[in-house]
Amino acid sequence: MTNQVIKATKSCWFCQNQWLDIDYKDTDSLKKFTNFYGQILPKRRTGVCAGHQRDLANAVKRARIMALLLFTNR
Amino acid sequence: MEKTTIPDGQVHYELLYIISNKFSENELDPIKDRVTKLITDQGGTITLSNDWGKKRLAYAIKGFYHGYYHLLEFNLEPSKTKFIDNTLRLSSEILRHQILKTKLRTEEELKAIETLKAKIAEKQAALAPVVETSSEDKAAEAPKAKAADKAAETKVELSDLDNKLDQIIDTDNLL
Ligand SMILES: [Zn+2]
Repeated sequence: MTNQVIKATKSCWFCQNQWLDIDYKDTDSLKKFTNFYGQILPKRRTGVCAGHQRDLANAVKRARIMALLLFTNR
Repeated sequence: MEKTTIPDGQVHYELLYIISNKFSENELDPIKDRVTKLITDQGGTITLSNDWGKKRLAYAIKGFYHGYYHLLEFNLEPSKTKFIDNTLRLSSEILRHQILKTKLRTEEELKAIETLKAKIAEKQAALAPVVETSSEDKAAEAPKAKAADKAAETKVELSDLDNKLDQIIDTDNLL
């Protein structure tokens, strides 16, 4: 479990990269926004905008249902 | 252009499901055929079929730590998804499934997404070594190289450990 920590930036990562939409199957980019325990990081830390944070949270939850991401790391 | 349009009264869906690990790779095709037939029998048309192969699950489902992932995209009338959802839930071969509405992507959009991902990967690859080289002095290179070697060794050991753990888990499943 090597989670790359994203430094707090003022602008949203998804807006910056002109991301079309957040795919729950793309676990590599979702993992950047979860901590070691599999929790979704708050947007005050990652700088994600409100709309994208909502999409991100939904995507992470869908990925958890399909056992692509952890619910909790014990 | 013909492929990228959805028929009237139909919606574009995606279905991802996990086939249980108790089947060997030879036994998967009949199960996949049954699922695709289930959709086509309801009047759906499959636009994409993507095999992910055997993957490690993030957590155990019904005692299985591995499963075969299969992704389908199809057009279907919304009223008929409930039947498919129910039959998939009741089938014992499928550990878990998820049906979601998705946008039908054109090839141009898919290409754009791929190039974006490649760009981001390049950026990250470019960022990582720059930090290492800038902090290194010529005199301190030799001991640092040794340390890097040691780090690599430990990494290899860790991956070996992971593999061994996987094997142990697999054998436990068979018992
Ligand atoms: Zn945003």
